[in-house]
Amino acid sequence: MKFRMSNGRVVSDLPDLTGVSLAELPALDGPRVDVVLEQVLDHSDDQNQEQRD
Amino acid sequence: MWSWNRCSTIRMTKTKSSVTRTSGDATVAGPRRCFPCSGVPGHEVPLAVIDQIFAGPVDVVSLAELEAAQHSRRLLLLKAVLESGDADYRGAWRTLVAAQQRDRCAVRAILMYPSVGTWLVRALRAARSALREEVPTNSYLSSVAAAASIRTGLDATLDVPAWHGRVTLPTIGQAGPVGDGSREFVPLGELCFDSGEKWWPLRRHRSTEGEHSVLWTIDDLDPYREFGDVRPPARLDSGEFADWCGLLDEAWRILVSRHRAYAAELAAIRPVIVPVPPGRGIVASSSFSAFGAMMVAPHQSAVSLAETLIHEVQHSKLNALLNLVPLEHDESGRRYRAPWRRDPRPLAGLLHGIYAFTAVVEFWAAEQRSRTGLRRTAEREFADHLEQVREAVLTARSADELTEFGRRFLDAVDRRLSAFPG
Repeated sequence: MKFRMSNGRVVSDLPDLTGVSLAELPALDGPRVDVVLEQVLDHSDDQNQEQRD
Repeated sequence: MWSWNRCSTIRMTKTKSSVTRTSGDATVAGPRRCFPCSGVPGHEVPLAVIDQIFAGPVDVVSLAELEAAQHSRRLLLLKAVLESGDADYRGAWRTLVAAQQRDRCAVRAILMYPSVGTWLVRALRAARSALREEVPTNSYLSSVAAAASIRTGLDATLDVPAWHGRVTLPTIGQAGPVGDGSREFVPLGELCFDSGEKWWPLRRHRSTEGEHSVLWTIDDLDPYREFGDVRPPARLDSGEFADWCGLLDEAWRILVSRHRAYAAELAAIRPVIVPVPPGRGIVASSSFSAFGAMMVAPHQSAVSLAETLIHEVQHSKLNALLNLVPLEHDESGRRYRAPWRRDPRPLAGLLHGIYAFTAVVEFWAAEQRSRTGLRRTAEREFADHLEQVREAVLTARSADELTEFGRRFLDAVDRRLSAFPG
């Protein structure tokens, strides 16, 4: 996950699909599916169990 | 009937070159900035929102930013599933698209449902690894589409998957038994929605204290409700359900009375409680794939349940934030001692624990001040957790893998802990 700063705002590389309809989704050119895929496939420890033992 | 549909409090209107975000009385307009490699603009979050998240409980505007990012993530995962080539999704997809054209909010509510997030992750992992799942992951999209058609009043002809003889409709409930339990798919039109064994609605419960209320969803049905293995339904009987509701009511009363800001963010996240049977060795758990969901074992007291709820919400928030900015770039595989665990943890896990247990420290500090009958417990819990978090912060500060935001996060935690001298 990458980001950059711009005028007091954080611009993430998570594509902002607000306003994109499902009908548009398959043909949408550009969104970096790998941004989330990488996280999903590498995330072996996907439960937060930071509880007391 | 489906009156719980809610859209984000952030409304966005797109023009060719600009985006206007309207949230409460704040409007920010400007050119959409594209992340260099993408072509699609990246999510933009004010630094003030990130700082508010680091500082503890958040308001609805900050939570809406996190939810918007979660929604984009779900759409990306959905796109990836469609492109995985693992199955023929055309019928379900057409239904889902048509349902969204009727009611965008209803479909968003389904796509944002925690178990749908868990399914998306499992489906992708299965597609990428040729993993054989007990529940065919490629068929759950039909369940999602069927739920969307029902919630939007869309006439749809669709076969929906049955598992353990029951058909799950995310956010709505579960129908069955269907046939002799051997059928893998059932036409949507054959499902029976009469009450009784044939239809188990997904149950919700509202807790109210004064002017403050929270709507709990208690999911004991969905095969993807737990974040690890798929599970058959474990329907609570009416007595067990009443016990859960009673304890949640009591926990809510404590939260509203003494932890108002945490209560507000809990209500805003619309929590999904997944009851875990005793004996599984789990107190509570949450997952990066299931924003707003918490697996919770039965608790002995409302105070400990209130603590657990606050703890798990912190994980949900931090998981959502980590979709936007990284706190660490841990590629070394290095592990760190976490005072609350016997096993060493990756830096991300340590940071998660720091965030969740800082809220727990604040919880017990407030409980101490309340002078209730649990004062000794509160003093002990407060002191133990404060010591643990301070130790964990020192450990985390030694990590080379912290990003600029990771250090900013620890600075914010230090400021929160500085409220407690000694």
